[in-house]
Amino acid sequence: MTESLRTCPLGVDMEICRIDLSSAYRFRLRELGFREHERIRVIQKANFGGRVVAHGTERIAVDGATARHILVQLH
Amino acid sequence: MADDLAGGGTMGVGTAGMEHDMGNHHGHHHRRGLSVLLPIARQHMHHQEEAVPTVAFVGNPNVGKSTLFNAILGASASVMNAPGTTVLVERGRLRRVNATWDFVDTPGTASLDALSPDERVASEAAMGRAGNPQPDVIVAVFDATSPSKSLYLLSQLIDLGRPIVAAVTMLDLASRQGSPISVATLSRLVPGLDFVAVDGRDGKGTDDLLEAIGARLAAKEQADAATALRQPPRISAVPAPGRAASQEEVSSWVRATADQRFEWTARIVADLNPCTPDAANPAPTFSDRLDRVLLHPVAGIAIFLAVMYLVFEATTAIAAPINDWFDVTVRGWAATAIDWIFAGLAGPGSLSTWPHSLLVNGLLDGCITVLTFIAPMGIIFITLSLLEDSGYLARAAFVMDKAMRVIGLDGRAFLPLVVGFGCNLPALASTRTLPDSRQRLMTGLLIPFTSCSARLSVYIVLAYAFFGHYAGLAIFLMYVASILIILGVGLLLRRTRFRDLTTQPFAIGLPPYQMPRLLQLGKSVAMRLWAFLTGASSIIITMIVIMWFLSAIPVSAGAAGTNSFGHVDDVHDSLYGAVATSVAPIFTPAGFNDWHASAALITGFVAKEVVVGSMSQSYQIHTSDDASGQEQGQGTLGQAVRKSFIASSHGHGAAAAAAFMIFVLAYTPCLATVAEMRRQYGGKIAARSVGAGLVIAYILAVIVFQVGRLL
Repeated sequence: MTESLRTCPLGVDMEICRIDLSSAYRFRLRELGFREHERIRVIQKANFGGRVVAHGTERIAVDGATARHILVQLH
Repeated sequence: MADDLAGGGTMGVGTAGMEHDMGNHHGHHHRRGLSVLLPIARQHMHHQEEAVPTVAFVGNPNVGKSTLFNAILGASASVMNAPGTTVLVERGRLRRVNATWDFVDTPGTASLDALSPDERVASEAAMGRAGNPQPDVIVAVFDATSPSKSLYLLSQLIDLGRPIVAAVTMLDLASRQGSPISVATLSRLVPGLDFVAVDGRDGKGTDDLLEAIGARLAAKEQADAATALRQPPRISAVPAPGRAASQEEVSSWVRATADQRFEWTARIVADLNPCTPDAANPAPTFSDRLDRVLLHPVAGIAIFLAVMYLVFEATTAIAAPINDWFDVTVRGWAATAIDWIFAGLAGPGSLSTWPHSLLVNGLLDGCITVLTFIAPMGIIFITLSLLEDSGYLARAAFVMDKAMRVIGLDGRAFLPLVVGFGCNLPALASTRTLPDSRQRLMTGLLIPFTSCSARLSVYIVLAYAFFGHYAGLAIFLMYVASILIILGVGLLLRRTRFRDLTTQPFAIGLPPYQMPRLLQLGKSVAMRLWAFLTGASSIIITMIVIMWFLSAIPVSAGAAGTNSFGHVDDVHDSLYGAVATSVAPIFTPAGFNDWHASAALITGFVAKEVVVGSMSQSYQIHTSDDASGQEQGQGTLGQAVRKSFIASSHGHGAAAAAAFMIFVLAYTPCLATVAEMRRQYGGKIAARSVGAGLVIAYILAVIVFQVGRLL
């Protein structure tokens, strides 16, 4: 079952399934590491639905609206 | 507002929404791109035998690229706008034994597929497109804490086929996070590429980096003469677009080859961390733990506002006594010295001559004005460096993103706007922390509408002169008006010239927290301060001297018939007074068709601090230096202003005073901000900002008066 990055729990490994954004933005997120089948973990909730995502040693902050469009599958 | 301000498209996607003429409309038809930044003589040298090699620094945002660049070049680096844009580019020439190299530091970019004007400038410089010199060596700045993003960009740079060196930063932080990444491992995984460990904060590794650059240049020369240059294997077989390629062609190439790069990146990252199958290390890092507090949905905002308050206090409260020292003590010393020299050379009578007045009231006044900006500018540069170097500024962008998005800006724009309520000048300087040039420009255009503390002195006198017990409320409403004007102008700009700023998703890498290095911080602050002083002082001093001339030239003999050049008893009898009188009727619809008021506004263009003094002078009222604004407003000055405004507004003095206060709030803050805008964004944008400020101030003043007189 997939859910959005915004609603998934903290500290759980998950796999990116899909990014529902326009192609340019989807491509930029892929460039930043948000690629299908990549494993990530949400490590921090911020204001207005923003999330901090751990991807290996990298930390990426995404706003609430973007987080809602990143669909993941929990491990 | 202006063509220069236009994004040129919508949504900021791909190549739309970019300012990229790179000089085409600026008289540089044969010199485009960053090449326009280079001296003409050097350009010619590029086509001759003694060409100076160009070394371009390219890397992701927040990887320590500029710190490294400044550690290598020091004071010989200079910041300027890429031609035709407001994108900041740093360049400098390094002279070594038997070698001279030109260095260019490009804006941080995630990819050669540019989504913003800044990324486009970086892409063009890296590829030698749009008239840029072809880099003889590319220095790919590689963040060890962000190997995935760094490798992805590196894969594109490798495929350009140019000599390349990778400078690996933040290895110490990566090690602290438990990452096994090392230069040796990277060299093994990407054969044929020199990886050099560097730390721009203390200069470690910069000599090794320069050696590596020199070696690549030497190898390139030998290869040019004989065999092909040894290069790392290409990631994609699809050839990279050439120097004549458009940004669209580059973007197509990047996207067509992306999957191969993602695979290559994933393979190397997996090899770098063979024992970590999880998404991230199980134990939170120090930065993760700190972010739990600093990015907390509630505490994060409270802490951010507290930090902003501290920055505001630092630029105002700490700077104030230092400013007073320059303004009173240093001015006193210098004036005494000038008096002593004049008296010694030409006798005591020379102290009342116009050359003495020009030196003391013109040149010295200008120099002191410049010196009084050292404290607030120095303090803002220190605080900005601390916030940037510690890694907090990227968090600030995230914390305030939602609030600032209303006007199309990211959270980092909040800081300059807060600082603006103390002083507009350091606020403009702090826009440099905004990585996107369009956001930087828009924030810079909004800052003049933040009501700085200098304007407060004008509000106090007028509020106490006209609003009595409601003076406090009137002053408070000026700050409310300031915020409303910023929102209104921000929304207007966002829906017109800055449409491209509206809908980009927010996704940024958060650098690990680190302790700023004092030596690097000191060097950086000194360089920024020096750049400000050399860049803005000439226009400030020149304009103050011009103001002196205007007030020194008599247009009538005066009541006593003794006026002469440099000796005008009443300001009204000077050219300055004549200009003020001729300007005054313009303000009839705003209720203050009065030469005293327009003279004060002209003086206020130079600095708002002297508006009250100018009013006292024009009314020929001698107030004590110790008199507070409230005392002046309730005293003789207030009575004189009230009499003038009631007369000019036909009995609606309070409405005219409110209109005057709004005008003071909205028009050009001071000459120094104009000089700083010119330095950062160019003369055209500075001039148009001044024009827009005057128009907005005038419209608001007329509305306030016309509505106010009906109440």
